[in-house]
Amino acid sequence: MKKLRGLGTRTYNALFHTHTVAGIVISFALFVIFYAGAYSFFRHEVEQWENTDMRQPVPESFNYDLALKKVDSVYGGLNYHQNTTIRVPNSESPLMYVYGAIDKTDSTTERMAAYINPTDLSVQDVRDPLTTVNNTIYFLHYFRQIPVIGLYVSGFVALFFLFAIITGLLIHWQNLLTKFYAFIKEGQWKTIWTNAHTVLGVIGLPFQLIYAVTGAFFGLLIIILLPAAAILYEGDQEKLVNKVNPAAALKVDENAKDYEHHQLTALATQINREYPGFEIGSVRMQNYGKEDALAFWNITDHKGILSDGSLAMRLKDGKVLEEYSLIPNERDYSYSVINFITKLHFASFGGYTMRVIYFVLAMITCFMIISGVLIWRTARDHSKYTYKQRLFHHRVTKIYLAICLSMFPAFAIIFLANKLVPLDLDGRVDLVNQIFFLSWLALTILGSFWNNYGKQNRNYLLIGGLLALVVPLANGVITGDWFWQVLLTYPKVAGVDIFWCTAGITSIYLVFRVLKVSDQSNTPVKKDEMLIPPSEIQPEKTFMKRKLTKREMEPELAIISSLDPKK
Amino acid sequence: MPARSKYLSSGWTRLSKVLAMLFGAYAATAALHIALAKNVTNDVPVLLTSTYSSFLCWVGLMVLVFIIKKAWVSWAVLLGLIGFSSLFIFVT
Repeated sequence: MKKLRGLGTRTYNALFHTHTVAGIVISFALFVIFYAGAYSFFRHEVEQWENTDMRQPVPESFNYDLALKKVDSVYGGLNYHQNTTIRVPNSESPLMYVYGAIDKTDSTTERMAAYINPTDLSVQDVRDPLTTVNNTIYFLHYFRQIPVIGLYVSGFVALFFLFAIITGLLIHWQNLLTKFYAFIKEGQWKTIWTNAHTVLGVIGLPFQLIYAVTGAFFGLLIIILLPAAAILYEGDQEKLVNKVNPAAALKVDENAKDYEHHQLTALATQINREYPGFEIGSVRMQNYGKEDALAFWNITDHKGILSDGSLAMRLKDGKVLEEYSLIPNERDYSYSVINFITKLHFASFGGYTMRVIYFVLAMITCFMIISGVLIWRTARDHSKYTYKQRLFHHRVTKIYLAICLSMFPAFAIIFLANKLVPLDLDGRVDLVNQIFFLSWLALTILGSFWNNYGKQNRNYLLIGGLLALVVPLANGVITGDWFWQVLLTYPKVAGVDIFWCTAGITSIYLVFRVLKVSDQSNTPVKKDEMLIPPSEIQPEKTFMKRKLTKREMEPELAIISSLDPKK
Repeated sequence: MPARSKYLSSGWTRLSKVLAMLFGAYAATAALHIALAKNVTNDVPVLLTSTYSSFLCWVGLMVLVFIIKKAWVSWAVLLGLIGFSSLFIFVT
């Protein structure tokens, strides 16, 4: 196979080193981001699984105005002059969601957000949610649990991930074509990890590139736009925002006449009729309850990457203001960029298949991160390094693996905690969070006592696998919705249960049938303490149970046959 | 096979390069984009494009810093880009 032209020796080594350093520094943070992010693709499924309030059919007709009145009375009056957004019950969630503003006593306003149950119109404040599985995992995805800097940390991790991708691509450039076919699971450990890292890196390249750029976008947008806003707009951010949003030119008058007969429900029906195949996601309103009230309906068909739209409308007569609207699939470049990046990142296009593909690619990326760390360690397990250095490499690897691999059992634990902590217990969200983070910590500490990487992997798979099998059981026993019963009524709930079942069975199968873990510790041994001189230690050849090949059983024969000129 | 250390820079050179990749490359990226935005009739598409092209540009310059052997040359290139862009931002 043809080789591409590679880098010069100095450039190769310099970039190789930056790839290693950048990779090792971000590795476990990046693993956490990808692992938590992969679960977040299925946030709507998990939300319905964790919160039994969401297990109800989407109401076919629903009075938004009435629900809004209820919220209004619970919060003692919303300030409708400010933006008030309703997320309507739809295929993603049967609950209505209101995001608005309330007046404070000192004539300022503060934002509020609440869920409204369409059945009994009960109101649940967002800051005091009932359940937290999806929130905790999603917040972990961009380190929101770290105050103030969490988002920026995740942004910089994404930026250096992009750096690692580009340097990785450059150093492997020469072997890009040949290595693509190197699905080799035999040979020395270093070769196995290196091949896995490069092959999966090449396959996952487009996906990882998308995530590095869009991830950096969400984390570091401010840092990128700040200098431009300062120099081109003299720091006037509103001026910049107005240019990006066509609807910003529309203004409402605070002192307009009151108007009590707004009919959101009728208007929603009208939109559904005019845009068949589309679904209303949310509606943002200004001056609701006044004569000049405006509504901006966000609609999507969940399929195309540019098929979202925003319809601007006068609430009083339901007239669509075309020039201020964004018609699906007809948006021009400026009005598409941010939406495009968001959809690429959240996989909110292409439907369910797309999200499954994204999930698999995210898991492949997790594997790549781990194999990268293992290359780093195996390449340094060499007599060239002092005993102290090698011990350090071993400990870092061990702790990295413990943090990363224990996420599987820890995630099973948060799903279990969601079901085992009663829904009516006060402060249950904090309790569930504590259970999750403390058990993750405990599992990490436990894992750092296992001095063999294979053993760490096997034990975490075993613990995670057993816990995973309990998850659907807990859901069935506590909510009564066994997954074979709700397969048709609540496919999302059944889907989550089936995922955990599959994960559990697969892990246990791997533990008992596939993985072969040696008893040999990975802790480096001092040279003078070695029982067998280093030159005589046989490298471990395989990582799976299998028959020996002819070449391995009869090495001489293999050498002779390789010398055969006819071959 | 970790990278061979005889090809790697050390000490102050390394620190200087890390600073160049973090701050120098960032400033050069911002300057290039602003210069472009300032000199087109409608700057909105440029600014929106910069929300993703900036990261590619920033990382590209980071790689360049390490491809160039001497730290002062890297800085010279980055400062050159900043200076060149500034001409288009502040002079025109």
